[in-house]
Amino acid sequence: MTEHAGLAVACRRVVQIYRGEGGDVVALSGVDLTISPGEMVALVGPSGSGKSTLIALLGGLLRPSAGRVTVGTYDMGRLTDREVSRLRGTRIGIVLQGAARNLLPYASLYRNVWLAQRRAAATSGIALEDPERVLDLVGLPGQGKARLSDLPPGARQRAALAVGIAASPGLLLVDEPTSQLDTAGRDEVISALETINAERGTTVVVVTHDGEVGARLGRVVTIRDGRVGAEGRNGQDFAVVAGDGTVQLPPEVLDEFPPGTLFTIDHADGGTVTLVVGASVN
Amino acid sequence: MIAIVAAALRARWGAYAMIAALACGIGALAAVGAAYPRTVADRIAAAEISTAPLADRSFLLTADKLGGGEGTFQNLAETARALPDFTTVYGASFQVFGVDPKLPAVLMYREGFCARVHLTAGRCPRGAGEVIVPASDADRLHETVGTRLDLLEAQLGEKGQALPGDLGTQPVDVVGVYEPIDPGSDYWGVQRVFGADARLGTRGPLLTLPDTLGIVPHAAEGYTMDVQPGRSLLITGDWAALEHRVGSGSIVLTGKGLPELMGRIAAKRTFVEIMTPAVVLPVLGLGCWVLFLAIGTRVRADGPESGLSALRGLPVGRRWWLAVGAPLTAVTIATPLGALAAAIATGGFDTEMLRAAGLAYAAEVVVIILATSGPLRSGLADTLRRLSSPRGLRFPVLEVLLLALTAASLAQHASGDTTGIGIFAPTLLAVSLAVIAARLLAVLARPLAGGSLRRGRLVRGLALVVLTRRPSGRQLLALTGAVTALFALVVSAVNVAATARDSQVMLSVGSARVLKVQGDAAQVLTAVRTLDPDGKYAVAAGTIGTGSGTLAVDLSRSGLIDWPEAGRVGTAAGAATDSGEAVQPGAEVLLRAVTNVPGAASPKASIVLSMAVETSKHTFRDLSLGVLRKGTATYTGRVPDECEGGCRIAGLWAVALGGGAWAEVSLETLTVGGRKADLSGWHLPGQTGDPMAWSIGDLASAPSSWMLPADVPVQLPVAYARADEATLKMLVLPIRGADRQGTPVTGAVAEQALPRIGTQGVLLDLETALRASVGGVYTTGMQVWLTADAPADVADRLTALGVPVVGQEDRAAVQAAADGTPAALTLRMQMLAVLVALVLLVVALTSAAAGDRRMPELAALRVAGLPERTVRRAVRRAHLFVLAAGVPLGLAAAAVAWAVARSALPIVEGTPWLPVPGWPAPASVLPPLIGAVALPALAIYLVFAGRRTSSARPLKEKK
Repeated sequence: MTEHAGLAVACRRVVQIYRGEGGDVVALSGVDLTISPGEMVALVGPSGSGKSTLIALLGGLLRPSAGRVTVGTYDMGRLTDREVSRLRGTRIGIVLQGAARNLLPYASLYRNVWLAQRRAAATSGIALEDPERVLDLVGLPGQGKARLSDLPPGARQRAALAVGIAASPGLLLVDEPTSQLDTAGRDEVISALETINAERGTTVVVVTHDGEVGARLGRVVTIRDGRVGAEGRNGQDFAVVAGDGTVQLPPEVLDEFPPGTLFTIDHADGGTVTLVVGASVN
Repeated sequence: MIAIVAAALRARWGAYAMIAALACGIGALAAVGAAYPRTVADRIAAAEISTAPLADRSFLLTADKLGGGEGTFQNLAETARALPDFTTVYGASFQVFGVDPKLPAVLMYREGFCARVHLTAGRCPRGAGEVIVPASDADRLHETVGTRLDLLEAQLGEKGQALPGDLGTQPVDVVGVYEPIDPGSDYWGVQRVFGADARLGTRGPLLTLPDTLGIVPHAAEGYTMDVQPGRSLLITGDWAALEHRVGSGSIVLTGKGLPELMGRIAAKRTFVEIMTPAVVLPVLGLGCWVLFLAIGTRVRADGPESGLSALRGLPVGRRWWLAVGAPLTAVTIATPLGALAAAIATGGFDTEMLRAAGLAYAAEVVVIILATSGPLRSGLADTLRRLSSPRGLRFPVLEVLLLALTAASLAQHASGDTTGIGIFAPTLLAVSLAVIAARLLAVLARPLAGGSLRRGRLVRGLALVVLTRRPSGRQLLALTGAVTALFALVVSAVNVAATARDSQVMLSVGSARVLKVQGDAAQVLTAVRTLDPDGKYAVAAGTIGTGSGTLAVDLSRSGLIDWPEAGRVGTAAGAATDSGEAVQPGAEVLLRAVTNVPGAASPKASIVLSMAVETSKHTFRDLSLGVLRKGTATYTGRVPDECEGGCRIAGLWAVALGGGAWAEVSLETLTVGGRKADLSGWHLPGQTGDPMAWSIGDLASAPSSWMLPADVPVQLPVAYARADEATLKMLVLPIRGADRQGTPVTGAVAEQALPRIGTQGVLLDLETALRASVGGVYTTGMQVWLTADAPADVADRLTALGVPVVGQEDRAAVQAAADGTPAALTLRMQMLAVLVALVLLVVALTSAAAGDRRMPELAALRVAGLPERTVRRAVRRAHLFVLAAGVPLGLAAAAVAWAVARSALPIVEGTPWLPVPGWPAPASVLPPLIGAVALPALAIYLVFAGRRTSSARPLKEKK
């Protein structure tokens, strides 16, 4: 496979609303996010914050209710189902939460990887990597004949990663790859992700609850209440100004300044902004 | 991709083996269903052919000249001989004198005759002037090999008698003596070549070669050709084709035997062909439904895997192949195997079977596509979630289609058309009702689920949720109802048909075994009572008159008659009783009577008075009492020697001689052997009144008159068929020698049908009939009815008693024949079909039970902390609910279908003598129904009993 270039990701005021019998649920309420090609990003946040929804939007599993999701040059909201399907078979790799959900349990790892390459093989006509080589990349050399049930949990997750990168995608979306893994298994998975990113330049987006994973990936985007709440880069945390000008305060700050608190903004030279508490509505 | 599908088959062989087994069963049932009409019809046709006389299976070409051109016998014979699949036997003959001094014999050539005879002496003729003679003639006439016979043509006289001809004799040599190997074989043709003669024994022709026929001078010769269509032609029942084939040779067929035989075969073939699919097709439909459920269960379990192929962006074709590959492979392998097994079981494979198996396979493919299309059509996110999104109310296409079909079939059935979709009326109605009721029940029971859960009754609540909320629950309920309905329908039909057949056989035969005997009523009655003096196993019977509507049976033995009404009829119709003491031979008879003679038409007219007595052998003897004299006179006679065993006084008989005469006789006393007979109750036939006033009038036109004793009823009590009341009023039993007198009958008991008579006719006591007719009853077709425990040598003993047995009818054989009728055999196939349906239901329930235990919803509940035991019990109870609700639904549906459209079921053919029961006997239907319910219940129990240790397996897989 020659096309190893990572894909850029851009979300602009992305809104996602689930329609249900009991009423609508707003999962994302204006996400703005930019990810550079070849970057590794961890999406963190509490349960129900919208992380998995965001990754589903990036993978074309869902269409945004509003806003724009761009992967590489593709506007995911404007693609037809067939185009999205082709994109998932060639340029976007998705690894669902739980290794078993990514693999045919009765087929060997080799066949699973081979199957995941079929769309790319049919579409691009480019020679794909041998499935054994793909397995080697995620640390499963010579395991082509093994089946899911033959592997320990860490190896299962890496096998799932192998299927995700089988078609050499430019974007790899991984949902909770280290949940239910012990430390050693987690490290193996993170190493595999790092190897994929390093060798192929693949953009990697990982949804995780595990802070250690975020720390290892370098960039951590915190999703809170359906929008990007904060970002951490190289160990330092930042608040993020959203597209509509809003800034989410960290929870510990919110505890001190409950909603309704009034500020004045003192914009000093040198880029320093000071919030001065004026009054509280309560 | 093939490797992946193969891997799926290997890994989930249990599930796919079950799908394969279903497909195998469907393929087999389809093939058997297609083959059954042919094989059964062939069997029925073969039975029909085997019991048909040769005259109905062949035709005969005859001529008295051979000819040589168009339309001549020779031409026709050559044409017939050239017909493929026909057997022909050419013969030529004429009558000759010279064998028996008084009787003519037949000099005959019949092609291939040497192979059909056994030579007891000598050899077969080799040239002109050689004949072989039948052994019976040879013995009787002391002819043997080497005897020379001077043959002279016999010619017909004016009255049709054979007379010696005048063309001169021709000596021929006897070169052999023969016995026919099988005188009754088809080879000898429809003309009786071998005849039985009471005095001369079995007689047969002089057999010779055509050259001998040529040298014996003769003026006339008969040419015959027996033409017999082959079994393969007859068995088709296709008269038109046969006629066409024969007609192509310009041979005109005469006689109705052959076309009628083929017509009967064709009708039976048509019956089986039409009626077999009536249940087989619906069961095949159920089979496809079960296949749909089984594959659907598999698809639900494999749903996330189906999503994977979409997740990886595989083209639709590959996604489709991944979804259908495994079940399609299983079905593709198993369906032909099933058809092959059916072919082996039925002993052959034909295009119909191939076509049926192909159609079944096509239906299975459609089922697979429908069952797997859900995940392919669903959104990827839904598929990956494992839980399907509620899709709201969908238009029930299949239910509406089913209802439309049912309405069409009912309409056609109501129109009286017994072909086409009308034959499906009962099955479609039963299935439709079950399906609709299941849908309604699921909707109605929904609130119960919520209520149970709110009251904390988790097991019941979850069970109701599984039953009412999941499509598979509703479908299982409908399937259970439908299978139960079909099963109940067919079991009911089998039961009612068996009852109707048994009744018909019982009535038509009348006893376990019926011997047809030669002899008159008195002979047979005496022989039977001698043979079985205690009345343990034999009953004499016979038909009165030339018709078949009046049956006389020895009702003193009515208890031996295998007929539930026999006792009642025996009591009501009344066996004969003796009113006086027996008179002994030589006893003096003194009749004192006062005669008033109003006048005589002729001076020579006189009236002779006789007394009739009945011997112990039921023969009647008359003893003359002299000429009737005017005024008070005593008439004397003597009891004849035949009364050695004691005789019964049978009546007084007045016969006018020499012209018309009138007399009024008042009987005063009758003394026999010094004992005065009781004259009270003596009467004229059919008249009550003063026995002392015997008016003998107009004897010129009715030259005799009887006065009968009191033990002869004034009117003969008879049992009569209810539908034949009109005949009853006209029926009068004639009396010996009295044209104008007769004993009328009176209906003592009415029955729907009478043994061996049916729905038209009367049944009366044989001995009473003899007495009432003073031995003048004309009986034909005398029979001896035997019980099942009658000795095996009854026939021999009857023959020894002077009553030779000429035939017999065996109830078991008649029953076997009845059980082999098209209706019975069709029902047998339908029973097989519903048993297959029952197995399908068991498969569906067990596979659904096994699958539902791994439902993601329930797995989620287990994760949420609900005990595994509760989940297991809930699923088990859900399936028991399916049975508990589905079975009554099915029974109710079957009851409605039975009430509305049972006439479309192949219960009986023709019109049985007794009305067909309206409903099956509960005692007969319940056991199979209970078995039908117990089988799936046991299967469900075993599913849960055998899987207690495999709880929450799907969740473990996810870790």
